[in-house]
Amino acid sequence: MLLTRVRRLAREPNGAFSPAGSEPDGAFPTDPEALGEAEAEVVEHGGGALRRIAVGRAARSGFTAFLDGIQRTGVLLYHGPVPIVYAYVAAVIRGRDDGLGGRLRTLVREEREALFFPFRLVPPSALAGCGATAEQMVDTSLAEAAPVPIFPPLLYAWAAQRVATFREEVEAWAAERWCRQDAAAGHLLVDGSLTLSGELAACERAVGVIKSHHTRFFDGDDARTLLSLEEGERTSVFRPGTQQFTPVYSWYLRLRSPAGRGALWGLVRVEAPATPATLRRADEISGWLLAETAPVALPDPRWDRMLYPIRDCEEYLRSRAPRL
Amino acid sequence: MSSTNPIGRVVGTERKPNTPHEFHFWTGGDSSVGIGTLVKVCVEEPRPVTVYGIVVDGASYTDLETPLHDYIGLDGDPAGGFAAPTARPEIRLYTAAVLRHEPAEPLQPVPAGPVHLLSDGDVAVALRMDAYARPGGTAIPVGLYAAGGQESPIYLDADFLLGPEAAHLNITGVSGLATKTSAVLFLLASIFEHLPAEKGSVAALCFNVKGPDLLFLDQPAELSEADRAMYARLGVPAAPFRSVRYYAPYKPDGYNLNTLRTNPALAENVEPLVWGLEQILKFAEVLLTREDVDAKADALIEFIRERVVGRRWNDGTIVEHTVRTFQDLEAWFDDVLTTCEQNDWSSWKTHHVATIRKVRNRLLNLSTRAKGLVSNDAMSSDLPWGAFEDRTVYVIDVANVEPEAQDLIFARAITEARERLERNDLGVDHLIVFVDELNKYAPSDGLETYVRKMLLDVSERGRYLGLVLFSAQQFRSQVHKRVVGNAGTGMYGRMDMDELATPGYAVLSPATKSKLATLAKGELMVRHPHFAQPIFLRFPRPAVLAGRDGVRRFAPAHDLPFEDAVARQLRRLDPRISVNEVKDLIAGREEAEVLRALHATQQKRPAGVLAYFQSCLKKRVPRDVVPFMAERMRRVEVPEDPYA
Repeated sequence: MLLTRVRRLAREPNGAFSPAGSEPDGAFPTDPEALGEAEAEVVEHGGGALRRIAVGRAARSGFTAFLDGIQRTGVLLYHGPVPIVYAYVAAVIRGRDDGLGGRLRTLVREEREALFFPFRLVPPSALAGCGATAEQMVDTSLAEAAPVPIFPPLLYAWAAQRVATFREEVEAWAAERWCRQDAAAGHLLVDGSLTLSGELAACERAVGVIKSHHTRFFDGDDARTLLSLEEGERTSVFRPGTQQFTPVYSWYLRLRSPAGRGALWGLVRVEAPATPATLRRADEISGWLLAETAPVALPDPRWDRMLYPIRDCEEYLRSRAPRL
Repeated sequence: MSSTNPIGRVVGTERKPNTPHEFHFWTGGDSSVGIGTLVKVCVEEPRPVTVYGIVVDGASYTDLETPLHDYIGLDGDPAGGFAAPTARPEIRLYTAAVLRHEPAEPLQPVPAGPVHLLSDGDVAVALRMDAYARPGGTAIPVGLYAAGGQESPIYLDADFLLGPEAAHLNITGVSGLATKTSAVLFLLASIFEHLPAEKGSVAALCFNVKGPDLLFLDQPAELSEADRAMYARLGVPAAPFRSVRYYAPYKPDGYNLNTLRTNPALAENVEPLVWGLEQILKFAEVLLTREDVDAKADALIEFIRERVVGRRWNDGTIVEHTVRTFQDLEAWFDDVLTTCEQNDWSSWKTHHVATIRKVRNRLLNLSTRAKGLVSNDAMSSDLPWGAFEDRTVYVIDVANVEPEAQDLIFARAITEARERLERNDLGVDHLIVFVDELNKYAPSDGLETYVRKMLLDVSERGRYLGLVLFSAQQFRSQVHKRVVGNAGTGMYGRMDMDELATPGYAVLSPATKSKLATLAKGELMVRHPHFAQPIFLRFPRPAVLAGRDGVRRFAPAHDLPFEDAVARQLRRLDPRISVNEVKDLIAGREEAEVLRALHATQQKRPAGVLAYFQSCLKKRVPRDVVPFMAERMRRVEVPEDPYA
């Protein structure tokens, strides 16, 4: 049987193949439009080719706070054929207090609700009966002049797009509030990109971790270098070409050994402010991230890249989110 | 509604919903909640409700889905390769059984809300003690409930402990921890102190069935400060019983008491327990086996009991008899049998001669089978029937008595007490009878015995009479279920897991059973009619000298030779009597005669003990000493050949 012979191929000594293991769901998007590519400029070690750099696991993580956000979206009503989309978004910053034996507690929490629909098809006054304020009703019409088709899937997709922005606004609000604290507050680890807000992207005490890899920055030998990182290795720091307005520095880091797994297993992209300090501290920050790999974030299916405190934030937010 | 900070919150899920009789709540990891902790839930909306409960189960878990995830996370190394900076959240989820709803109606599932520990007042409400734990009430302190750094007194209701509403107490637990005896002694002290005067007088009758367990109830123990504090909190004096009377049969020799309380310093309140024919004939079936007593024999025994003993008898015998002792009975039997032989009768008053001979042998053998307890003569030294005193403990030491004699003592003492309480002729209104080793005396299986029937009767009818059974055993499951079932109050010390696996404990949660299996000395679980659920509590060590310590401090006297034993017993009545005086008086006399005189003196307790004792002895005829007069004796001449 071909399946058996293929698997045997992966076990051949000194062969060119390695077993793929079982990739988590969603590791590879099936829609090519979800993927993109961008320029990247290596800024460490004088530029040039991407290097692999071994970093040690830090004995103690320097992160003291962790940020994540959540959104819940659902069509609660129809006004004729027009879906009225309800969204709940929330963001939380959970702080780790050594005095609590490493347990996390909530430092900042923000929750918001709103209704999303095209005002041109459904006047906001039609929803006055539910007591929604003006801020809690969001127009999903694209532009003043653009036609609004009466096609519920598309109307929902527009609403979902706005909800994502709505969530990012809440996350940015929480992150900026934290960034305004003094340095004694420690370092913030953000789930996702720092480019949510310019203030966050410039904050010296904030680091972002991106778990999904939908943008290709490198090809050729550079791509082989970053995809062959071993556990505890990082790439050179580079400047992603996607972030013109809120520039950040970035590098790839392998959190867990990919042996017997796929090429992206345990691979995350780290973002930090585009400052010389980041170049100096890339090893230190990487060491902190490696320290955060314990305890393991199971049973989250993304546990190879998910850091436990981020999972804790997610669980916290899920426990408060309404069931739709 | 509650002034204390909440220690947890009620949580209900579809899988673990809250009901009117049970609810679930979580606490912080550092909370003092444990199995047996009393808690309350207070909510104001939609209507004010307070629900009291007791924790009966607990669970903790983390966000791990399977143990495998932890194994993977630690790379299979239990020590862990490196420290995790973040601790997994670990929930402590408890299940509580509802004790009380306030208000009681409508009875609804327990609402979600904050959970608090209880104050003293809350404990009283939760356990429905507020109805009787008040000035002028019927509260009897039984111990302290401790949780969250505070201790609250727990009270039993005298109306449900001593009757008439319910009565009796049964205590079970493994042997060796002294919990059962200690708990009963503390409770007796508490009853003596707290039973309201309007409830009448109370005394206790205890059977010492093991070693020196109950032999030093009038001697103080050394108590720790913690114990003294508990006594003070419960309002019970940390002192031994003020009035204790001891009774013990003689050893088979008939003059040394069969007890370990024989130290001369303690002899003052130890009395012999000796019964004669009139006292025990009614209980002959206790000593006689079924093989001994068939229907015909039983009819003759009944005939003798009803028509012969204690009456003048001159019907169908050669001489007139008044049978009061075994000696009298023997003479009566001999007369009857002689009459039959002389007249060549095969039966006498419808009783066959063979039956008469058989009953004669069995009855006259009773005094042999319970030697030391049953007297052949008219001697009787008994409990002070009709003159029992309030707040007095009467202890009968049966620890070293043969099992048959033990049964006889139980049967006679308890039956007599019951009959006298029925006639209101005991001297007290309530008598608490403490019987240990109930497995032995009222087993759930085996032949029906007189003692078991009697204990069943007491447990079923005693509460109406004021006869209260405090019973103890190691295995409750092996005691007749009607005896333990009729006990209104139950106490449980440390239990054996095998015992806890029996059906009688099915209502307890696994966690409660686990706690019962590891209870420390001085801790109990208590069930009482007012408590909707059993409660764990602590009680202080009894303020009386423990048996083993008592034997060390008051070493038992050695068995004495006959003359010394008689002298010791007379000196107990009058310490001025010298041993030599007694020895001179009884020198050369038969033991039986001396014992009769001794028993008569002990019964009479006269002012002039020695004089009375002497008067009971037979008059001595002065002996003339004939001088040896060899010279006056005629020498007998023997011839060399006697046939010459």
